[in-house]
Amino acid sequence: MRRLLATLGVGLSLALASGWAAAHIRLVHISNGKPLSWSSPTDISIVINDQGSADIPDASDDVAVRLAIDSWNQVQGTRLSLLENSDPIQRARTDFGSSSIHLVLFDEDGSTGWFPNGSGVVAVTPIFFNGNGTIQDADVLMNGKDYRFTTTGESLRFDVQDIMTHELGHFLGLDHSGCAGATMHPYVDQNNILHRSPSPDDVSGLRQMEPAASFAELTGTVRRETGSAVVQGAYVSVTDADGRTAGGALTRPNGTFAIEGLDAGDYSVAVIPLDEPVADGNLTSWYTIEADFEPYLVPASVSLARGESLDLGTLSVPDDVSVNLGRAADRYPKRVIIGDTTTVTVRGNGLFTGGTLTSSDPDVVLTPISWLGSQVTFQVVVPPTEGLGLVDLSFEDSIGRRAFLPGALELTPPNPVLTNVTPSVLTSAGGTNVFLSGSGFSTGARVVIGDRWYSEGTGLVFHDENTLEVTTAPTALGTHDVVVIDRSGVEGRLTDAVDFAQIPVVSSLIPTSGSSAGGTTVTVSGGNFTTGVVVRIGGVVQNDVTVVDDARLEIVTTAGTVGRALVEVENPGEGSDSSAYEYVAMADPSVHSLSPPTGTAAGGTVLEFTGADLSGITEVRFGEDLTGGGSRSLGLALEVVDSTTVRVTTPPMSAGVVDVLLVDGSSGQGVLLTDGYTFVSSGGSSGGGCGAVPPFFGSSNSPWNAWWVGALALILVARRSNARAPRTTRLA
Amino acid sequence: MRSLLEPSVLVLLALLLLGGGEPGTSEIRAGSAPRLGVQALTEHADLVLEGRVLRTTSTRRHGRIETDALIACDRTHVGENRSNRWITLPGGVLPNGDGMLLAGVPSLAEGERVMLFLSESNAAGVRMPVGLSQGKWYVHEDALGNRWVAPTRSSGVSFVGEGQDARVHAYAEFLAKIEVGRHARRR
Repeated sequence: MRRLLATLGVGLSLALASGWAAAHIRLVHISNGKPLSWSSPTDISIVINDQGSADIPDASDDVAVRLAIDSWNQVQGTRLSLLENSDPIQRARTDFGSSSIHLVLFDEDGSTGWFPNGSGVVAVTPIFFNGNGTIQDADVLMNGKDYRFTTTGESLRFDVQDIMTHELGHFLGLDHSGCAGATMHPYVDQNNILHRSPSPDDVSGLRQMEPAASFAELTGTVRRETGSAVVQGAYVSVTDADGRTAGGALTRPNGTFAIEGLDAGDYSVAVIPLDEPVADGNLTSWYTIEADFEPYLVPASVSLARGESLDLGTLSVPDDVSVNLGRAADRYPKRVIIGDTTTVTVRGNGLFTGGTLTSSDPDVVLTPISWLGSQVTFQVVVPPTEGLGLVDLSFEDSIGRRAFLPGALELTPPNPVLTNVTPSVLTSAGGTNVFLSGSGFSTGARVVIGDRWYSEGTGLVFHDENTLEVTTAPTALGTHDVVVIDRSGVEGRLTDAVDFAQIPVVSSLIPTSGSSAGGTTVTVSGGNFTTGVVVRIGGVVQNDVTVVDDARLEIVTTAGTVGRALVEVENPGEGSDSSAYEYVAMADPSVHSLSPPTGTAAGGTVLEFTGADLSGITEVRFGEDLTGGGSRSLGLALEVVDSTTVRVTTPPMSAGVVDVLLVDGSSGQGVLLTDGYTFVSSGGSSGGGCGAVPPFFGSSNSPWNAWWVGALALILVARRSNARAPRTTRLA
Repeated sequence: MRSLLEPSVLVLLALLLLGGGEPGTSEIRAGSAPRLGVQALTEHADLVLEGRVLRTTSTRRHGRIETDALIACDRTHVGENRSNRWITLPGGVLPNGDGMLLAGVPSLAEGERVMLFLSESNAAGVRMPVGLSQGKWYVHEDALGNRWVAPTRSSGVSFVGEGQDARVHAYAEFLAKIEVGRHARRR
């Protein structure tokens, strides 16, 4: 490789470097070389500023950032993880300089000061640390003033997820990598998406920083073949038995290295000068890189058991040669498609006819087309059975001089093809099952729809390579692309595939039956209920409709014909949803009074309901929460005294005001008492160990207890009614 | 100095006649910074200077850590010419060990001979190396007085003149590319 005149060290003592270990390439303290790390590496809080990118109006940039966060969180075997804080108050903050917040912020006007005119900087991740290398603060700032961003592959723009995944690697403590295919490769280009998913080299870096399992490691020392001097800053790269690039490390100032975070398996090892396309200028200035030697490939592969540490001893590198693979000015990795033939050009030096170019996976066949000395063009044939991953390139010229480029080729599947999405008109309230048809789908994929993303286990079901199913979450109104992103980062997109409208969603009716005479109060729960909503029962427009909130309607029914009837709820111009209802001949049950209206949360209070047509009541439910957010319990020891009186014993429940529902199990009729009963805390009556309780609370028989319970009930009722003003309590 | 200028003028003429281009540099982008050739660096820069780093001091200002560096300027290719110039770059380490870094942003060490391409100053007077690490080059000289410019502390002379994409440049060629960039700025 390069014949170097001199290597200028920075004169740091080995003692200063004693804390430095170099699996992957870590960010280190500029002065003392201590690796930077988070003191609490799990669930490191990160906030996505709510303004997002001015280039992306549909909030899909938020999704792209979240996917980038997720890509690091998917790394197994490390305690490092990120946790988004989506508190709106935090998201509105822009004070990235505060150590109390770690922000992702698009700077659209240069106000951060990080992007002065002419900076030529797309994004930065300022990291503050102390003398021990503990990270005190970090933020990711994107230069929206000078550069354009995209989530849709628009040309000449930077892919948000690709850039963000790289920057978050720095945020976590990774420096640039010597592996050409790593997410932390220092160069990422416009419209590149291959850095969206961390490579094994990046993964081993996180595992080395904060291991959460036992991994294997390779150690050794790199020396010069001539003179035996140690080589610092040599890049040691390992490749697994399938020929996939698995990780790398720099040698320490004393020439030793440790590649940690490796899975059990067989590996081949190469020692490479870090000159091009990655060189010392790409790394934290503490590092000293010696690159004046020829790559050395360890002749035999090594086998590692889980948790094993294997010392390779001394690896001796030959003197420098003037052949080289890779240029900083070129895009890496080069994408090659599994099951296809791809033409690739790699620049370098000494690439002349007579040399041989091979990949680390013998099944990946390279056929050179032209040798020009400064570049070689070749075809890459990848059998359809090959797995994903990075493949190294190695070159040997006619007189045996070698060059090596780790992770130069990335084997990806073809882009997923998305041909159809059904249904295409969806409610923004979510909850719709959507089927995606196409080809090339695989497990581990992500689906992005509007401002939401889905993975297996969180709304996405992988049926087969042609079908995915998504259960939508509440989604921003409007027309959205549907995107399938393969775990390698490549994607398929169907533009404007779905339209999210304010279509109402009906999830339940209470009661489900009512008198044909009408006058039944029916509560409809669901979502997207708007002012102007139209409700029809059996095709008859209902006139007495109250929109309590966007998730709840109350209807007082008109008279109808005995039998089944559909309740249709329609937002004019948007869409409708429906649910089954039944008119019955019997009168509806009604409740005039409930005694007592309050009782202890411990339960056991006997309640008496007085009203009419109560003889069919089969159960009484406390805490019937129509939004689905609360817990409910059945009343105990139900006693139907006669058609006007029902008694029930309260179950134990948390203190608070609850709805009460009396249900006629045979007809489906019922009566809902909104905020009908109050459970109050047992206070000191339980006889607990608090010795400071005033004497008048000391006895469960004290008359003060009744006073106290009543006062609490009044307070709770007052607070409840303030908080839920639109709701009405109806005792028929 | 004269002997260095003459070849640079020749190379400049050749570059201008050939269109002065650095093919691909305007399309190729990189990492958290665009991938920039020498000409593009010059076009972006507000200040391009060449000299030796005499002194560096890191300070906490405005909640950030910055490094002031005193440069003994041999030449100023873009910007006002001064013999000595203080510049301020982001990042650095304070005496108590606290520090700040931006991955990819180069730092300056006393004694280094450098060619710096710097952005305008922000409101706090801090300049950013254009294109992060790409904004700092090392000027090397051998015992015979031959000079070359490389982006690494160590440098390989064997690549000088082996192609426009090689990152090690003959000094004269490098100056010529700067001159092409200056010419483009004027346009």
